[in-house]
Amino acid sequence: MTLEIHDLTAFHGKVQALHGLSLRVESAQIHALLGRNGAGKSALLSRIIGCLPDAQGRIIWDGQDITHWPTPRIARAGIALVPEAREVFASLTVHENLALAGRIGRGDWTVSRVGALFPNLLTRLEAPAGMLSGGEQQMLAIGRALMTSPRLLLLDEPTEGLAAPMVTALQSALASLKADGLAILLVEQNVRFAAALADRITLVSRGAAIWAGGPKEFAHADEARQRYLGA
Amino acid sequence: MFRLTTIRAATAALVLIALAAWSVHGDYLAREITAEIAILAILVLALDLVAGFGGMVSLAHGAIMGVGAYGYALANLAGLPPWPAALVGIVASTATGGVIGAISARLTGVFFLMVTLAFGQMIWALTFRADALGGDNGLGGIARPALPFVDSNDPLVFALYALLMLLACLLLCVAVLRSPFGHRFQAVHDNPARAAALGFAPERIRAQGFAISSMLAGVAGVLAAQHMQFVSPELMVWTASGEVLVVLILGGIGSVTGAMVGAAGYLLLKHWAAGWTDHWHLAVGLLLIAVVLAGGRGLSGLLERRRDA
Repeated sequence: MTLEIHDLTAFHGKVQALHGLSLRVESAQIHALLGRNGAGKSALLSRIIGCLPDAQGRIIWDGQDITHWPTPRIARAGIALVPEAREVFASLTVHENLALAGRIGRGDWTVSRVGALFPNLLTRLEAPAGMLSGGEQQMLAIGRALMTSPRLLLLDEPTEGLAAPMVTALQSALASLKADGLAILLVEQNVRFAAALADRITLVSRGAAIWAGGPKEFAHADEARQRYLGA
Repeated sequence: MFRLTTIRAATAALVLIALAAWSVHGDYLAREITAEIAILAILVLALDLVAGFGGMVSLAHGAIMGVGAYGYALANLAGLPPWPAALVGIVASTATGGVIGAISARLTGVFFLMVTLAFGQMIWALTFRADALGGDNGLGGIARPALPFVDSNDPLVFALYALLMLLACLLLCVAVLRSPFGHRFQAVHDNPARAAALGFAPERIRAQGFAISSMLAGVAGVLAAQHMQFVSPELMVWTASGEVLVVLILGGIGSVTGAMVGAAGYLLLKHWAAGWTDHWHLAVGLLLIAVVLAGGRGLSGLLERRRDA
């Protein structure tokens, strides 16, 4: 399945966050979106799941125009978002967070399959989600999204605030999800993490895609990296 | 997340047993107060379900309970036996709550409060003016339910019957909160945008929760009509809904068992203080202030914290 975005514009309140952005995400592919803070990366993810209405341009998912669908319908069509702030349901337990989401999906994912991917969660199943560490909440947020059996995973800065061992664990988890055929759109500030995983990289600045290419081209695109990432 | 902790289960059991023992060994007044406590506790429980676990603070619950009471009264006066009439009352409350919920579910906080207040007042005004409903005179001559082996007109039997209904409502409430629907309902309260991004429709879930809560309020309404054998628009005045909210805060919002502790504490204090002063509201007010300042978890919360410490 493919996500195609054509000339998308979107507003965050009165501020225009996207200025005609286009990109394409394929199955079994990790597409990384890099750019400075405020470049419009998170706005794009919000827009894809229908949280920023009144957009122009088109979002095509699996051949269907989902641009103006309500959020729950987009989620049921197989698109799941892991938000930057994790936003686990703090008053529910870890198990309840996962089981809740599992009732939406086609059942490809179970609590034990999430546990195999993130073993840390298995020992905390009955803990209130609000009591987890930041890293554990990140795992739970990803696990919760997976429980809906998505075909496209939108990840908003998953490494933010994670300790190094957690980042390594996350890297191998994402690689195995890709191997399972999941399409992943990854927004990151951690350029090294993203570049190591990505099959395709798009640089975003001021709400538009200004550079796109594979990881090898990215490694040699010194000028673009310098200019748009300062790295 | 709702936990039926040992202390909560013990509190609920203790309150139920104490009230049952009090009505068995007590006088007529003890039995009447016990029935009153059970009915109020069911209504507070209904409010706790939506306010404590869904963040939907409603000022329509008095009116919704009144719809249940009138539904029972009208069906019974029209010739229906008490048990089918009870079903009519409960269905009427549930439907009323479903409609109010569907219309107001997109609102939150003070706006939700105001809209439920408006609906409650509308129901009260319509009842007050409707001659077919007895206007402000209300309706009398309502039957109590037929029970096997015992006579529900006996105050002791009715008190125990009301306590049994309270227990049933308590178990139902716990079952709802532990069900997949209950988890969804609490998730929508925690974070509606996230719940939507998982594929749930927050407004529909909130409306469904409101309907379930209204069903419990309907049970309280049917019991109130059976207890007084009389219904009047008094039941539906908005201050009745406000009183329910006060009792919920007093007992402990979001704790389920707080409804029972609050209802028992409130009515016992009221009857005791009213024995020697007309200003019993003052005692309730002082207690409410003390409980809120002590952490806002209500009387049941204070019990739990003493245990934790």
